[in-house]
Amino acid sequence: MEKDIRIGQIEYFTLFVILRLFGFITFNGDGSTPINSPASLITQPLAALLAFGAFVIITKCVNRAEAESPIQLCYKPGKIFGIISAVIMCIASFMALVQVCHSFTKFFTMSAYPRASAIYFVLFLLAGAIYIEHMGIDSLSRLSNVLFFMLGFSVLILIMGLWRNIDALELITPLYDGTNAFMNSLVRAFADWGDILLMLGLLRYVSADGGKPAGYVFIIITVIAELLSFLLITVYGDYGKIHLFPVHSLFAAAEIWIPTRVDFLFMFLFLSACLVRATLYLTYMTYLIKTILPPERGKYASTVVAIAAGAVSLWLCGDRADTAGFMWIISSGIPLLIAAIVPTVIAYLYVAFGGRKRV
Amino acid sequence: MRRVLVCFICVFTLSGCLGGIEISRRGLVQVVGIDFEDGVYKLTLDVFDPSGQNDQNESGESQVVISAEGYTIAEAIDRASKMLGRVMFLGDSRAVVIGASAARERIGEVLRYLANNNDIYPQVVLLVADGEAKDIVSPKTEENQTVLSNALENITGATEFGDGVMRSDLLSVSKSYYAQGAGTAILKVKRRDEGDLVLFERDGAMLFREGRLIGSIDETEHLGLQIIKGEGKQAIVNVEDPVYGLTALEIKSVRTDITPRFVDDNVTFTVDVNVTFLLNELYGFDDGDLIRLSDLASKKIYADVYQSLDSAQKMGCDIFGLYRYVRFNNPFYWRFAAKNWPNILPYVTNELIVHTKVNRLGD
Repeated sequence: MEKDIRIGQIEYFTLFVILRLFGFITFNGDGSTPINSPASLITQPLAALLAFGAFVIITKCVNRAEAESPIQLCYKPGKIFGIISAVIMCIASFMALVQVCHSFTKFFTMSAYPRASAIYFVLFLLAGAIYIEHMGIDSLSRLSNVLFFMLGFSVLILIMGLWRNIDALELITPLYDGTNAFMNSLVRAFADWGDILLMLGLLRYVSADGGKPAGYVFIIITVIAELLSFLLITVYGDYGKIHLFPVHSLFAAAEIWIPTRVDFLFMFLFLSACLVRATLYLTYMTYLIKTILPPERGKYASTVVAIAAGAVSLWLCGDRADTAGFMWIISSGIPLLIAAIVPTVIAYLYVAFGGRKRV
Repeated sequence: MRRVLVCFICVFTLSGCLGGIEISRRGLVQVVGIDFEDGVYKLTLDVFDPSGQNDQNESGESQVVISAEGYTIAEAIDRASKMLGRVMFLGDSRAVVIGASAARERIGEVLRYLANNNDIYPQVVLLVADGEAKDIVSPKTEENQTVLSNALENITGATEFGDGVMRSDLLSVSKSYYAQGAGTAILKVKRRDEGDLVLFERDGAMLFREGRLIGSIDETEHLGLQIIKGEGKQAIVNVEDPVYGLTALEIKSVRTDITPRFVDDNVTFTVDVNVTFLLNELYGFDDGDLIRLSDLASKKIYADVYQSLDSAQKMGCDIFGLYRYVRFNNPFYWRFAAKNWPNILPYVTNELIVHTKVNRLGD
């Protein structure tokens, strides 16, 4: 029997802002959305609009009055379809978890601790995520309010520290790199919204009317993304494109009187975003696995999943040529987006057009 | 029991950073001097010594200056670490001085190393030495122990002594260096010995493009460059007045509007400069005198800006960032012109318009 967990609307929103923040601050150009391209200032709001449309459609599919989650809807057409859907969502979530571990490790072993072994970082992150998952998502949701405040503060400091470096002449037409580059940027920005899988999955913890003002989440996230893109483009220009972690470089360049360097704020946000994302995906996977396996077998699901994700991310840390394609897929967000939309919509159509109902 | 175990494990994780290095084992590099000779990098590092065992400067800080060689900058820094027995940390560096030989032969490598090093602060001051960087970084004598990093920051205007100097930090230099078709300028510094006193002064700037030293500009052209960029606040402009003789005017504000025009694949820039001066003298100047001074200042600014534009254009080195105006106003033209911009630039024509105004104190 699952604990009766409730998340407030504000906590639900702040959780997702922090969750999406991960995509921006770990941006390093290898498959993720190029947030410093000329097109990004236009494609990000467009992608958010498309993602919001998808979110609204899926929330219409599930029965919000009964706090139904998309996976519960997927079990309505039949157990087999439900299990297949759960497996698809599990695989997508697992990829997201691997990506968090990989980005976390990559950043630390490439910038902060170049000589350290990757395994320590994977262990620390996953141990933290397992612990918070064990504590329950409500504790994480309360933490997200503090993190959201810190995010707002950091963005403010960033603007203050960089305003004299802003060069408006760097803002050129979004079609500068051609129509194909623009469309590519739009598709990738939309795919980055694959996190709506989690957003929908956790809706059941929020009160029945909680999903209605979800538009604010999309607006806040888009505003933050636009601000980061604006600063990256106007402060760094083409020079930003040679940086491995451009947002980190942005924080490093911000100059205020006291304490002069503010890249510690980036470290704080980076750690927080990784921990929140890893925990949320671990929690969601555990929930999905429990719908597939008998309750007694699902007891150690989170630990087993975390160990597997850690092992895969360590395997990927070598950045070998044969794993490049896999890395691109998991960092693109496409698997999450497919898992969020396809099974739920099929299940809804099946039920709506008179299919079997077996809960 | 489980909680006790968790708490016990947590205590071990509170012991500090992973692979942490004690402060006494750190070499906090304040100024880096980079020379290149016979295929080898020769680094001179001004290192802050937290143990306090070495010479103290006028601020009472202990400094040690060491030299190390290597085929790459990273190798030289590694050797310096081993020689001093401390891990060198460049995150505290306030200035990097590139020797004339390194600037001439290896500027691309040097900028790449600095830009890719995560420790180095992007706004660290970047200078090119008139001769060898080691002459700048190790100027100490028994009688004169200056805070070197402060002295170097002062001449670049990064402190309260800012006098309209162009920005010469890693971020601004790298940004224009890595922009396609553009060039970059780095301030030149030279050492002057006056008895036991060691002084540093600015001496124009060196121009670079695509990993090569293109040329240099003098102090007058440097002021022209500043004005084209809409900067130069607090710089002093001297004009020869027929009534009062040589008179100093301080630049109070600069606004420069650059508009490109495209006619038959040719670009023409209209450079409209508006400079307001402050006359730091209280008595003797009436409104007519101010108008006359304004006309004289206008001619001086016109000459400086024209000279600056002309010499950099002839070198095909876009240190003014004119390419940004072309790209902004006509991005599709720029897509084709970018690769060839250094060859196009000398043939670009400019229409220069200068407006000046001289204010008294309190105006």
